[in-house]
Amino acid sequence: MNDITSMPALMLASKIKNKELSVTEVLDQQLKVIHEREPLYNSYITIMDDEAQKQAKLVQQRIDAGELNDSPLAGVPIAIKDNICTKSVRTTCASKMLENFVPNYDATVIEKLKNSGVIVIGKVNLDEFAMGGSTKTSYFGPSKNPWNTDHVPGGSSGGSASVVAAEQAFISLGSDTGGSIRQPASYCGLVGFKPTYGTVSRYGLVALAPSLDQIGPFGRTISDCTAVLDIISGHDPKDSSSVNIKNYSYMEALVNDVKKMKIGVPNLFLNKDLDEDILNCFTEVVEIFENMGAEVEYFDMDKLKYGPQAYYVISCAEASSSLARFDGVRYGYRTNDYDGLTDLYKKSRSEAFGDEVKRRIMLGAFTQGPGNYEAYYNKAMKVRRLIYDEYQEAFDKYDILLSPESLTTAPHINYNNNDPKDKYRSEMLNVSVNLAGLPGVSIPCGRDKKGLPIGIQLIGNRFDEKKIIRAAYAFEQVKPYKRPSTLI
Amino acid sequence: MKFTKENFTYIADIVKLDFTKDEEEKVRKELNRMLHFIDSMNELDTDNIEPLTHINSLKNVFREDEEVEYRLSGQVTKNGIENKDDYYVVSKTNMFGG
Repeated sequence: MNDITSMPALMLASKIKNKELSVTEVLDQQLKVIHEREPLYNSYITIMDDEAQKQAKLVQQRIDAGELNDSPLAGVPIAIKDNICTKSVRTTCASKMLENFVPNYDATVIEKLKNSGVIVIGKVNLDEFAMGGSTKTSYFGPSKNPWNTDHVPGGSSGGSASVVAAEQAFISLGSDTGGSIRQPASYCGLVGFKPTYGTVSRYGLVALAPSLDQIGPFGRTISDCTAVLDIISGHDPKDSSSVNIKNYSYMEALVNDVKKMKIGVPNLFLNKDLDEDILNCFTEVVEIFENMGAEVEYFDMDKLKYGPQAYYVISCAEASSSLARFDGVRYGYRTNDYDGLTDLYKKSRSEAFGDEVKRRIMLGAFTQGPGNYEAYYNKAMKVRRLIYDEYQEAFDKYDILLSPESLTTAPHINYNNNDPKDKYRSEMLNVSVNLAGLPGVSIPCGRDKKGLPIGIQLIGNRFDEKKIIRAAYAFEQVKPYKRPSTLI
Repeated sequence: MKFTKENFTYIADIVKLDFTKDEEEKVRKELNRMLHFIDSMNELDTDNIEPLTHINSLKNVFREDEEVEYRLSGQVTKNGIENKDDYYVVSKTNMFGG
């Protein structure tokens, strides 16, 4: 076990601040572990060895000069999902289309992290353009789950989860459109936080579905995630959907107290499809919260079962527009052999996009097409309203909602399920949170018979992050983080 | 509603994607299974429900005009496969599908 890289991020930052460790020393250890373990997990698309060394020197100078005294994570290495733009470092979206794309600007979240002295060490794997739940649609091949390399790490932010679990990064950023942070966090036994829509700037995030996308952190503890959230959240004039509220400070919510907290459990989330080990684990979680003084109540939320249907219509419609910009001219892949501009567009797009991306573009265009708009797109927006209203009614009664994060633990890497009903059933637990723009956090709560991690999801009302942080923190005091037993 | 051979070709043309005959057959089948699943949302009565277009209320936000310096010359076009003098290079085009 590497004593440095297995440390929580906040503890590491305080050791750097107290001069027990230097930033370069930490980075050297981190890069060593990355290179040792990368052949096993395939989580990094780009490792920024030299760039990170430059940042480390600069951050050490700023720490020594006392400029970063207020920064909770100065000197800590972070990995970034490869759909978030990094200046002069390629940003591929795990697609052949952007294999050689090098942005000339940093996303707002990257700027904020760098200003706070966090060291960006690399870009990590995802499903192509964040479309999938396993990293299996990545042009660079799938990543592996550090708990068992025969299993997927989840997705789409699979690399972001895998690297933090495998101690190839202390913390990471992912993006969540329909569970893409929470599901991989649960598969890899981590904390994964999807903030309220509008909390974190999307400027520089390559869009999948702009009305649903939100960037958020992965960490081994809720405290580490909260520290990242403190840095990256806030209004940004460059993102018209970011919301200008006064208090984006969350660390004060790390309190071990859930007495009298009202927790609602939607019955629908405990349906017959739930894996037995997960149900048992979830029952234990409910008992833990009750023993801590929270009031847990089961109740009905019947409209959520239409979440995946509405989600697929809306997200594919938006994706179809978002991906129209890839034309083989301004950036990205261009075909070698073409006859005229239309042929250039068609061949470049057809040769560079993977199957899942093409399917979603087709579906998205279909649901907005003549004669279909009312039946699909507009219908989905109305369903979205009903789901939003159903959540608001729930939050009139409860402080937070609690559910399992996923119906199963991480599937085997060769497992393929093409029946939409089965495929999207599990997503019911996640996508409705995005449709309603709510914050959600996945936290680890145990393991199944195969030894794979199980996660639970805490959902809060809009801009009510602090309540779910408090509940997660209290829970973590009873069930602290466990590193994968397979790690050396 | 379903993907037919005709509307599949029509939509593929709009979104600028080419499919081989075999691909088309496979993708069309998959998409129709998905549409069948999506159609189940029709069980939910949405009469008189206002569509939800934006989660956060959208209103105009005004601010003073500020000059911001952007030094992007030569940077933006460099990600294009072919560029010259800060322009993208494409083949000769004409409005009749050339």
